[in-house]
Amino acid sequence: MPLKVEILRREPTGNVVMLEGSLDSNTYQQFEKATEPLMTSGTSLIVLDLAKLSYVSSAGLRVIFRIWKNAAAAKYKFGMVNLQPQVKTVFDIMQALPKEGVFSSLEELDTYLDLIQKQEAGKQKKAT
Amino acid sequence: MASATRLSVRLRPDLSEIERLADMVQDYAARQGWSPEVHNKVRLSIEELVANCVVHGCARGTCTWIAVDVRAGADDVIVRISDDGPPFDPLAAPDPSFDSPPDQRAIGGLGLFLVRHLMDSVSYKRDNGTNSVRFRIRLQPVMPSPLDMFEMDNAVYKDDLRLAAACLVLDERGWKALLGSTKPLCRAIAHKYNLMHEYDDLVADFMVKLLDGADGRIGALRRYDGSVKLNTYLAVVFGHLLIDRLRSIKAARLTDSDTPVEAVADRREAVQPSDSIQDCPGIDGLLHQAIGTLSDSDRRLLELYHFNKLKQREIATMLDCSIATVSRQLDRIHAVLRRVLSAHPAVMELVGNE
Repeated sequence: MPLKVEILRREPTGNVVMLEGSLDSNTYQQFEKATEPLMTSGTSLIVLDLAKLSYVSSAGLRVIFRIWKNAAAAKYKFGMVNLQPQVKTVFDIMQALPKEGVFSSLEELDTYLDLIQKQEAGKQKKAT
Repeated sequence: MASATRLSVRLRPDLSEIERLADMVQDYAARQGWSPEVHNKVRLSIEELVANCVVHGCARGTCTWIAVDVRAGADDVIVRISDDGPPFDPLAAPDPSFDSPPDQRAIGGLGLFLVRHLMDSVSYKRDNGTNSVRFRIRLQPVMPSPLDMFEMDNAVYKDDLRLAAACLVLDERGWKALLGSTKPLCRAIAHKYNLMHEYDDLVADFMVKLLDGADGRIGALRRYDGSVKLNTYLAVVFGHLLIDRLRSIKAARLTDSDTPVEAVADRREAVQPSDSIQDCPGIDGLLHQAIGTLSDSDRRLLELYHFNKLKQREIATMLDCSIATVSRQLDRIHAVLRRVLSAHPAVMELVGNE
């Protein structure tokens, strides 16, 4: 089964990566190629929307982990939304779901980001 | 090559073969009736082992083939993956460390860890210059009975609108729940109409009518708005289908016996009630006005009783209610119509004569 990768810009500098199909040994390079530029683009956020991802193998997991690992160094936030049961099982086995960063929907993610933004604004106000 | 219980395939040691393999496993899983969970486990384990063989095993020496053999039994699935590459035991690789948070861990060893975790047993042996990994997945020992499954599905779709929506997107569990609850009712209605001999065809037509939008009509399920119980609504849809079928049978019989078309029309006209009332000037408008004051469900009941000529007993079966309820509702509807129509002198005269 092929993989479809679509990247949606999210204001102001975030990106939502929508995956559809199968992320496996045969398709992981396509995903890697599509997301590599994002990690060095000064993005503030990379979110993987997995609503239509029906299958993930360890080859796909490795790319996801790479994006996640890079988040601290490149100063972007990383999250995942809409994990389907068969995909979530794989993450569960790996004990690899981020404690803050897995959302059931994009709306829930927005609420979380609004909260973070308010906290940041509060900190800046205090500093000045 | 695939038989009913076995899938055997020989691959080139190349990652591009994995897509072809995945398609074959998917077809095999569908034939065996595996749950999505079992299919996912088998597919994932095969892919991890084959990919491991290509990337690590074959990369260290000459390897010309990888063979995958899947055997599905009643209780388990056994998979054997072999290759002619140099000796390589994938199970000897250490587990990845989970001591640190995921975003700080080394990335590696994930695939074989997944295989070890997903399988009930896995073993490796080197024999006659061939590596061979064998693993086994136990299938669920006890399957729920059809009745349990029906109840489980119904528990998921307690809400009629949600059930209708699930069926529209061709959700398998939704359809099972719908069929489970509707079939006995359809059977009862078909029995009443003496159409049991073509019951299967009728139900197939009914399902098409529920979904079909191809010929310009909108599928009946799409029109369902939740104002009545789904079962009642579907019974009416099925009832209309049977009435259409009966009409066509009746028409065919009349045509077969060389009855002139005019004669059929005459017979139909002969059953029109109260010709004398219809002839009265202004009575049509008054009747339309009276019917317009009725609710949708009252109009439907009126149609079934007066125009489709169903007996109260038959309507009660269709609407899944008692004959007394049908009778009471018809009395109420007649009273409403009588009240509106009573303004007309010709009606007054007829009612007075009843």
